[in-house]
Amino acid sequence: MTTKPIRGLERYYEYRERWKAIISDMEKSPVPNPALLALFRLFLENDEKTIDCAENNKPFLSSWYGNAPEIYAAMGIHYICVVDNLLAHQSFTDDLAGIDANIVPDDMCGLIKLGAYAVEKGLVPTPTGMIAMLEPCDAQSVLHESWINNDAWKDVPYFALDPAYRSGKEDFEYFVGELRRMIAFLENLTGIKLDWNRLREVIEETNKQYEIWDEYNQLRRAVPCPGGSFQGSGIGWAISQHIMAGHPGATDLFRMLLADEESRYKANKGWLEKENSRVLWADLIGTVNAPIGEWLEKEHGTVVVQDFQGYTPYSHIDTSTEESMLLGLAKRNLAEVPMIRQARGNVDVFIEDVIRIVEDYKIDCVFFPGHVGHKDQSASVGFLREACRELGVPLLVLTMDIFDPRYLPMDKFTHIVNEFFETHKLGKFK
Amino acid sequence: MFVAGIDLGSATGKVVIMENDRVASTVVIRSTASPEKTAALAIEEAASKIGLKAVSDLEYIVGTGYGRSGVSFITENISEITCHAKGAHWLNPGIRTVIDVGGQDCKVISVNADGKVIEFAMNDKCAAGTGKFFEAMARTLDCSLDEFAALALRSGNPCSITKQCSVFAESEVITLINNGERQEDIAGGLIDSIVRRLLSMIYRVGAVPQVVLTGGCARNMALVKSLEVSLGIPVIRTKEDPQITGALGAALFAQAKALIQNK
Ligand code: SF4
Repeated sequence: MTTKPIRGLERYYEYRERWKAIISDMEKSPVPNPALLALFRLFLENDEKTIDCAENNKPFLSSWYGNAPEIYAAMGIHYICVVDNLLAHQSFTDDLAGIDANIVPDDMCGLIKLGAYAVEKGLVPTPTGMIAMLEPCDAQSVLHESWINNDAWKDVPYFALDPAYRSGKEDFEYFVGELRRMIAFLENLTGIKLDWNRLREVIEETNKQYEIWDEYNQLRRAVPCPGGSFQGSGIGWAISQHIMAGHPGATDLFRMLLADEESRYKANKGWLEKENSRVLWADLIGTVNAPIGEWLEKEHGTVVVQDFQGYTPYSHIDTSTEESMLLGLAKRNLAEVPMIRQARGNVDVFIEDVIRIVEDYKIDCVFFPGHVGHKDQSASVGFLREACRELGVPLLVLTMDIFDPRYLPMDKFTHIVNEFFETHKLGKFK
Repeated sequence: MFVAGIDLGSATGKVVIMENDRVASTVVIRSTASPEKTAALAIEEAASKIGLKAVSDLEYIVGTGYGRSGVSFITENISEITCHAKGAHWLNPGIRTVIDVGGQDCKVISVNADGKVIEFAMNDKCAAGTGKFFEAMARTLDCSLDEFAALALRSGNPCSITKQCSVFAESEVITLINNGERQEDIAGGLIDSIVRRLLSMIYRVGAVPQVVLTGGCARNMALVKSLEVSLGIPVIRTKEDPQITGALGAALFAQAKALIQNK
């Protein structure tokens, strides 16, 4: 008798095998990169958990960043972000071509298109529940709408967190109410009660992680920058928000990143032998960023010193009471997580972040990718321009989809950046 | 002392030869498959117009434009943004915004009182808003580029054209033709759609007067007029052919470099 394969798991088996092969190759390498190895092991562990949940009917959630994953972690409920694996494995699949034929309108972010495509095509297992967030972009609603109209997902119970518009005390208090409602939903859905002591442990572990990440960032202020472009941003966000929150393995990985950077800093060495320019990438980083970072470093001796995903002004959460923990989580997830931080509410936070980063990290120029999904920010480009002019740093405004490298092909990108650098005497033209 | 600036665009090659702060000769030719060949042909033609024989009669040659790198006889390359700003500023020192609509790309440059670039935006996507788009649409309307501009100027009620991609716009135009719309109004609608596209780029750097339109498409008066209406400010007409602005800027740099060299 043959059993029917579980929807979505075929892809996950592929991911699992690929991680295993990569890890085994790295282990055999004469100079294994310990941080990358640790990262891939975390990814593998996470995928194995997803497979276990789907195969054995254990509860697991579909969620998105900024939804206080610390709470699910404390409840021991596994969660996935539908697009994570699609992004990590993009170069091995033809998912990008697939999204063109999908239902999501052209002018939406590649992440949303991939998310809709993944569920439509059965590339992710059907979760026990969904936690949706109506922020930071309008496309989130489109995405969730597409999911609840999918045959396999239409009966999945969901809870949508309603974020407050501003970042005052009353806004955080309102969001605490949302988090309480989410906890009630999860308890009802899974029958698992939130253990507040366990939540304390998870939060304390994440507090540690964010402290180390902050130290790592402080070192990047040094000239020359001791770390490479986008280095901590990609890894840091993945292991703090996208796999089980508060994982001690993630804390170890943050320590490795810090130690690596610290060793160069103490030896007064930069990531590049000769650092010509320092860039702020004023947005999230996507799948386009790795080749961009490599090219900027190689061609122009330029390091992207900071970006919105790596810039993590996470405050320490007071774990003394239930209320203080929820208030801290509300603030973290509503006003500190990248994108939700910069795209929600009015334009001030976005501009203040740019100003602070330019000054603190001695930035020579700002790249604003003009990500297709971030129309709110594109509409604010006039404010950004004024701020950059006042700071005396050149601004390069592009139009990209940071999750779809076809939108602004690399040759166009390099042409524009070459013109920009030559015009402003930056990079190799310095 | 003669110097030259060469702007090697994807559609045309432009040369300006200068002598003592004066434009001595200009030429615009269609690009060949090889930038080296385009540069050689254009410079030869511009030189022969004023009785010069060879490249060796030119003290300094600055290259700019997409095809500039790798041309053997160019003394130095300078970015097209910088050259356009320089050229426009020389033509009219009051200019603060340069909108260059070329054969295959367009750019908007914000310039300060010294002719230095403050900021710029470039069309990084496709043919929309470039000479290529106008060529494709003129073909669809079965007219020349000059006739296309003249048709648009006569439009009293421009059609609404939503597609800016030349492939999609072409089918939209065919539908409009089949629906019996007047050619003038289709051409007018096409011009307006391109201006909308340009505006999004213009607003990225700000439209500070005075504004000038350069590049081959600046000869299209319907485009100039539609832009003026949308921006609500006049678009300056230059005394030289707007298509040679980049080459002119390159020649001005060549002149300055030659002076330093000869000191
Ligand atoms: S990257 Fe931006 S546009 Fe895309 S889903 Fe996230 S917030 Fe929305």
